[in-house]
Amino acid sequence: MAIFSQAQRDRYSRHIMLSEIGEAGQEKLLEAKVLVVGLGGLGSAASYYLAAAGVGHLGLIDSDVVEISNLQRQILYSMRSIGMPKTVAAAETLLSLNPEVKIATYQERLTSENAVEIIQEYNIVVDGCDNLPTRYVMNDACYMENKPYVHGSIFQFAGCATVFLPGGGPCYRCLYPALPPEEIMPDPQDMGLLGVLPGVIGVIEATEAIKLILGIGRTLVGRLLIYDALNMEFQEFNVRKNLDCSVCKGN
Amino acid sequence: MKVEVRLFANLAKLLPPGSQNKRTTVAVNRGAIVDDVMDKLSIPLKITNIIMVNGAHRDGKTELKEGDVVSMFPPIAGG
Repeated sequence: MAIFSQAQRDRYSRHIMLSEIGEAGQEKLLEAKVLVVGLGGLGSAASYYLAAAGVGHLGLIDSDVVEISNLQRQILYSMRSIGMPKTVAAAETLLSLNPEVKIATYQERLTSENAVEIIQEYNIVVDGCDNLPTRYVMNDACYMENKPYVHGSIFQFAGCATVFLPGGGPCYRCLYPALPPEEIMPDPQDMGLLGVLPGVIGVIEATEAIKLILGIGRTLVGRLLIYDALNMEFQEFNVRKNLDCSVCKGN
Repeated sequence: MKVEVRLFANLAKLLPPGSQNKRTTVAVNRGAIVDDVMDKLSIPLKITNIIMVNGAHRDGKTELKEGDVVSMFPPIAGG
């Protein structure tokens, strides 16, 4: 059992008061290691709340530099971040919120060359990607390394979230077996995006990661949550494994 | 026979003009499968969408009956 400092007891008091969390749960959060892949809209919101919750180790991976158009939704950054690598600016913001979080930064893209080596170090991987190919890399590496992959994605006014748990439910490829041809997929950069949308989905992802760490509640394993911000509607679909899946074979 | 089709996210633009609430009714032959509905709406078969028939997760080869509700959720990429 952890011995919390008075400062930690104060900081996490609202968690510790919850019977589902308590000191034992807060200790699990302090020992957890979560990798956030992508530090855009989703990654900003998810990593901010994971740091606030006291997740002890955060890995932040992104190759981009902050631009002014990011500030409409990427809440880790400010005017003084413009021109800085996102990993550097993100780490500054998160450490000023919670200096106890150990942060590892990777100023690069997640690829099939580095994914296994990076993901190995973490308990859970959270999706902050802005493209489809990286999601396939994440999915495949998470399945290989037996790590839960908390998935989220957004488009204009729509978002979705689910949890891919190796051995527990479908994986990303069960739902989307193949990367669509590039020429027929809309480029998110050209399509516009409601700024608040990744805030909602990103925090849903952080919620799921926290519940997985604590082992509480009912997660989105086997469920796809769909959010329509324009009409303020949530829908849920049960999703199943594909027994012919090229990655998980429905296992 | 007629089936109801609900399209999400970027698929919604493929609905006929004037469609309300992201849904439309499509007329298909008896014995039609989901892929036939996609073909009628010019939804590219090369994009693998999540297909639900009456709320159950199915696939493009699922045979349909009168009054079925087909929902399709495409891969969305943004973050």
